[in-house]
Amino acid sequence: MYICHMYSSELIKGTLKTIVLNLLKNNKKMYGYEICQKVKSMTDDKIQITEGALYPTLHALEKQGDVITEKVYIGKRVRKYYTLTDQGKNTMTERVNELSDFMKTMKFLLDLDTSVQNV
Amino acid sequence: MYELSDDQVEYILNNIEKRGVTTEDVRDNILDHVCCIIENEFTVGKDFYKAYEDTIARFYTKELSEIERETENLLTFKYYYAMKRTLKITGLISVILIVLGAIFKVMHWPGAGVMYVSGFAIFCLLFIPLNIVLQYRDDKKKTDKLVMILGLLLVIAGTFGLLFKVMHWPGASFLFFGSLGLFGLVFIPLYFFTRYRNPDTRFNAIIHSTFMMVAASILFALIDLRPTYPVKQSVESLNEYQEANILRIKASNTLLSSELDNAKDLKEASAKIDGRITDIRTNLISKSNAQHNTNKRSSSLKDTRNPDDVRVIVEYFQVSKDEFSYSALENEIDQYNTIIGQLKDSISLRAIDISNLQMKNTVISVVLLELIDIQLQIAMNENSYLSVLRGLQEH
Repeated sequence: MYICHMYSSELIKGTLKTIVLNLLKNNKKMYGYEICQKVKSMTDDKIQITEGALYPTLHALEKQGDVITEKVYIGKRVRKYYTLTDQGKNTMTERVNELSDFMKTMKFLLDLDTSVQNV
Repeated sequence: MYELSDDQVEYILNNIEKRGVTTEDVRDNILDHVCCIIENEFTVGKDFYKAYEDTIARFYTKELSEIERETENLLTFKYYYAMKRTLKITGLISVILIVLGAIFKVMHWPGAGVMYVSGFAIFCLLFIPLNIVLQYRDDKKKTDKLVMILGLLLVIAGTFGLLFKVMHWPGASFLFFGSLGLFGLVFIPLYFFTRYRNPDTRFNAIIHSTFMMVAASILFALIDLRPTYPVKQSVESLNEYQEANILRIKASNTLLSSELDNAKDLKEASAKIDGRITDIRTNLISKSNAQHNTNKRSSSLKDTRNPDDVRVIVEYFQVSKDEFSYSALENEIDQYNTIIGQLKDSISLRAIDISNLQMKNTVISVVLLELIDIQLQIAMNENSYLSVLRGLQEH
């Protein structure tokens, strides 16, 4: 039920928060459907965030204080826009750094890039 | 582009709710998302209900409420570590407070009560409830969860009982023995049998049940240290003997002093201190009985509602400075000793010394018996003094 299509869900499960936080950094204010569409279009459909994974993550981020929400009423329905807080910006930087470090380590570990081996 | 009518939005909202999504935030999010998909990805003319069914199916693998459960899991998981940390901290604080409280209590230093009460409160109201919540998360089977929760609730009740007992508050025995009984007779067997059935937990079930049973039995035996009934009875009859003896000696003193007129000083001094001690006894008993909602005024030990009352001694008698306190008694005895010292009769008179008597930090019945003993000593002093005087006169 998580993110699927090109990549296995286990692989991307741990990065969903990072993806969402990073998107919000670039685009200021977004709502759920918009986030899904954006990821889809940016990755040429390689990463498709499922709704079942996105909303629990957004709620968790809100509870932790990394994002704040703003409700806009559209007729009978309510749309929640998510914005990064200052704390969220720090979390985002930490998460992105951690992930890029992790990717370097994985490259080295899986012997994908010989130039890294000698570092 | 598809346009959704208000009725259709309403229909989607109701349907989402019907599928078991109860949190408003989650519901609003799903609703908007579904609407966006239908509006953006379906062509005009497609059947609305068909479009909705196709869309909502993308949200879950088995049922829609998965989203809500996943949300709850993520949220509680976040609190999980905070809770574990709080559990450790509250555990440490309550252990420190209770141990310090126990030491202070034994040494009768001030502040014991505050430490005890706050330590037990943290233990009962934070530490154990947190344990319940974490246990609820960790235990897989529903019966295991319920059994553990029962046990922890009984521990809360029992701890409050213990606290009430230590603080001499009413209802302690009921709370303590009630929960201890339920713990031993209901919880431990339940715990044992539910866990024994599972081969994985069988060994632990035996070990834990044994430990808990032994601990519960030891607690049960330890807590009830009150004198057994025959002891109480003999203390009371001893007290009655002493009171009767005092009366007989006083009668004999009245007879003797009617024949002698040169013992006026001692007679007055004896009457004064004797009256004061009777007043102290009456005051102690009525103060102690007032704590137990009885207004009986008496100077007799058998009328004391709770002969094991420590509070009236610790919190009143030994600290107060009023006319019925320990310090007033010391004063009175000093005055009495000065007067009999002036009489210079070392054969028949003996000064009263209470420095070796246990009159502080003890139960009221002990203090009452000691006070009677002092009165007996005073009556004896007068009697032997008068007898010696009379003997001298006859010679």
